Amino acid sequence: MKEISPKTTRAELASIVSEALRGHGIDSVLVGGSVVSLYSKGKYVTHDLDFVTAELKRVRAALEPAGFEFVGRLASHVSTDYILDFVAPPLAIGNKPIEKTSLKKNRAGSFRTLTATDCVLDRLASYYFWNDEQALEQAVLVATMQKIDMAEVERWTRAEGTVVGAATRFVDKLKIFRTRLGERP
Amino acid sequence: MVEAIFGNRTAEKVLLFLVKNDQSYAQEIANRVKLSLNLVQRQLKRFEAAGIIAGQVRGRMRFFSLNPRYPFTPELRALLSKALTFLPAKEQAMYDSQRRRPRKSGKPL
Repeated sequence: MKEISPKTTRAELASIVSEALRGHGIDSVLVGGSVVSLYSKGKYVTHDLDFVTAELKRVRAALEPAGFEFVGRLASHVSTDYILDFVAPPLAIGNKPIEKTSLKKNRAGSFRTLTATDCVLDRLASYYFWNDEQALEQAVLVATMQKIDMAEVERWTRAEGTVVGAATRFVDKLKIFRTRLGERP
Repeated sequence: MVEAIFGNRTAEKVLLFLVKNDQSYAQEIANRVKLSLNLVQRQLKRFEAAGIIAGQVRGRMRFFSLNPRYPFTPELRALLSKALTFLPAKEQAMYDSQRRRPRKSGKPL
């Protein structure tokens, strides 16, 4: 396993953690703000690395030998400022189960994470449900810097809004997102 | 009522209270459903860790509600709402909302 140092990047750390977990037969997917950081090439900064895994009870035993120290579900390492958090499944964005993830490779190994489109949906979910303007900014940032499937964003917005009885509100917020992207409303 | 599904009485009471009241904090839930604060806090923590509820900090309080981003929330809400209608009237009152609309300061409650 690659040594963790203060120079270890977010993506390298994600690989180191994922590889260590994989070595114990544990699958994981990086989610949350870190994915925004990756797709925005560091324009959005967070020190959290959130992983969804079905094997929460086995994570500790898999990572402690690599020098991680746990407080509850949070893990830290003396050589890095990043904090790991492990989140229970399902891997989903609102009512949409995530079936396809993206495999990222680097010199420390590889890890699975959300696709750029799902990353945008994840941020938009926070904007739609919690009215979180920061999440909207992050969605715009990723959609500006990555190729995303706008038809899927539209389809998911309508489906999600219908399920929770907020179709009009969600579609109105999608229009704001599209306007921020520079599209005509 | 649906205690067997959720595994224990505390879990059932906390979820029923959150469905009926949309959002609340640990002390209020504990007072209203007549459970110890410690039990309620532990249950809230478990539900939050599983993504079933979400907490938002306002001032010094942490308010919890069903997590709208949890994929099973619509079905969970429907189940709990139905369960509430099956409760005896006396027990239903335990989950009744307190006044949420504004009231000018100084006016007697």
